[in-house]
Amino acid sequence: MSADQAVTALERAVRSLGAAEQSPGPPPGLGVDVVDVRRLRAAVLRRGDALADRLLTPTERELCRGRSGRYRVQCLAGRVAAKEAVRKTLGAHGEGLGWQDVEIGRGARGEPVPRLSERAERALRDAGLSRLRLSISHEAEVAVAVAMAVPAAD
Amino acid sequence: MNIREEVVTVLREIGFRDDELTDDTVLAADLGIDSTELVEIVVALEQHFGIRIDMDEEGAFKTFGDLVACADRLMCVREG
Repeated sequence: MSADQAVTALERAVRSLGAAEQSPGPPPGLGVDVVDVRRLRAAVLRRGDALADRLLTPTERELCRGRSGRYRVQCLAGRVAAKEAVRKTLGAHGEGLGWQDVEIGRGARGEPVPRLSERAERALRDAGLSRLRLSISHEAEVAVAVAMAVPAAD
Repeated sequence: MNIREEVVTVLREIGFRDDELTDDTVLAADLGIDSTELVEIVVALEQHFGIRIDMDEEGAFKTFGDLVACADRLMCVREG
């Protein structure tokens, strides 16, 4: 499957999740997002650091600093996908949350660790969810993230 | 300065056509703008006008008219 086909298929899956979010009922507890790395790279080249400054927290900017330009844009793309995936787990409860409300840190084994702002934590609780988990995957031109939370009572 | 025309100029530079940009044009449904593209538009507006758009305001942008209204308001504040 080409990168373009992968993006199209995943965006279709995301749209179907979005449609489900509009119906009454519990939040999905599951979120997926895909980022076109080429498109993001072009936007970064056009806008400079201001774009990353808006998308990333200071801790994330530090994590994505240095090394090669390729690494930096991959790191940015993965975090953008992860933040969106986390917001989607919350359904309507995630509306109004911004890019700075979800921070994607790095655990001891390099795994992505979601950290929520106070209001994002509140949104998670209000959604009746807990135990947020996250996975990010990269290809040269695509970054994908899946987030999952389980009902708080489980 | 005609703020609306300036906002059209910013979006034209990003790749949208003038005839797509009416006040009630819905950014997501009509133009296919996702959250990442919206960030670029917000940063482009900040850089073009020399303004600072609040992070929380970004999520409230639903239509092209919302972008124009925001730029108009912030420019009025900036110019006193």
